[in-house]
Amino acid sequence: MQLDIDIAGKLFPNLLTMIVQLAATGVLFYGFKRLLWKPTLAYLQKRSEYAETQLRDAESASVMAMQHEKTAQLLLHEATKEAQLLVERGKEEGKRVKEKIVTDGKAEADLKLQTALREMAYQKQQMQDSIQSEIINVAMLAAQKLIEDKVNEQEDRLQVQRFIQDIRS
Amino acid sequence: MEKAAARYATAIFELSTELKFENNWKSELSEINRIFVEDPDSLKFFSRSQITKSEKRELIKQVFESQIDNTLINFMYVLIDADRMNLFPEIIKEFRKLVNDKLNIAEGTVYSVRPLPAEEIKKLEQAMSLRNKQSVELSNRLDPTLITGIKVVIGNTVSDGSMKNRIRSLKEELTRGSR
Repeated sequence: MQLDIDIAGKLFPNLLTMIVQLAATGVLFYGFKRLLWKPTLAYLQKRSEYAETQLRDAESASVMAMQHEKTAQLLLHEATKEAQLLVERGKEEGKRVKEKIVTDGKAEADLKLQTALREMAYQKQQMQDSIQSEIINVAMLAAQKLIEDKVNEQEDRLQVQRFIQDIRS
Repeated sequence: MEKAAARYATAIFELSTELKFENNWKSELSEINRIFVEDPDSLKFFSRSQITKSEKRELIKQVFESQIDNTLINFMYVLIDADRMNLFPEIIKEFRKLVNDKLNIAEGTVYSVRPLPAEEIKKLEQAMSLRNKQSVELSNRLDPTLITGIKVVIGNTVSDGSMKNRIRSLKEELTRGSR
């Protein structure tokens, strides 16, 4: 099959069309240059300035952040030192309290022991006294009974006379 | 002590001082009082309103006329007329106190297991008088708990020569010694 196509005509542009195309493009460029060039430049300038400002702010923020970090590290270090000091003090205080509790407990235990010993001694003495008192009571009752059995009127009169004699002397 | 009793006691005391009969009246009135104290019904007789005052006077006259001073009988008449015979023991107690104060006499009690003969009480009174440097009059009371011996109480002073006291002293000494 044979195609009837003007391949050469298709490969090379039409001169007129090309001139029109170029003229239209030149008009477009001219219009662009005339109407949009300055605002576009101004816009780009502004964007550039804004970006620079942002960059400066970011740099400044970065510096400040670094300073803050240094300060925070310093504070952290101090806080760590203080915490360690507090822990040490706490340990010492705890040790001291523990020693005091142990000492006091020992003293109290000693006191209780002494009191218990004294109480025991007292109870023992009381018991001894009670027994001795009972013995004396029984002995005195026995003596009284014996004397009552032995005493007669004559003996009683003799006692009265002795009493009178004692008063006189 | 009723004020009335004190007034009667003072009156009879002043009269006895004036007549120098303190000791006599004291013993006579004490003897009458002893009868009333030992037999309280005899004193109640004088409080009975059914019996006239003249009958009460007559009884006093019959019982005491030959035994006590007439002034004391008159004194009792006064008490009967004033319906104050019920105060007789109190009056005599106060009268004895007044006489004792005036004559520097201390009254006391001697406790014994058996009744003491009068001569022994007398000896004891003499001995106590010498020791106390004042006349002492003692009345005898029985206390069988003494076992034997006597105890003399004059005011706040106690002289204890009883076996009970000796046993108590011995007991105290033994108790002290055992500790």
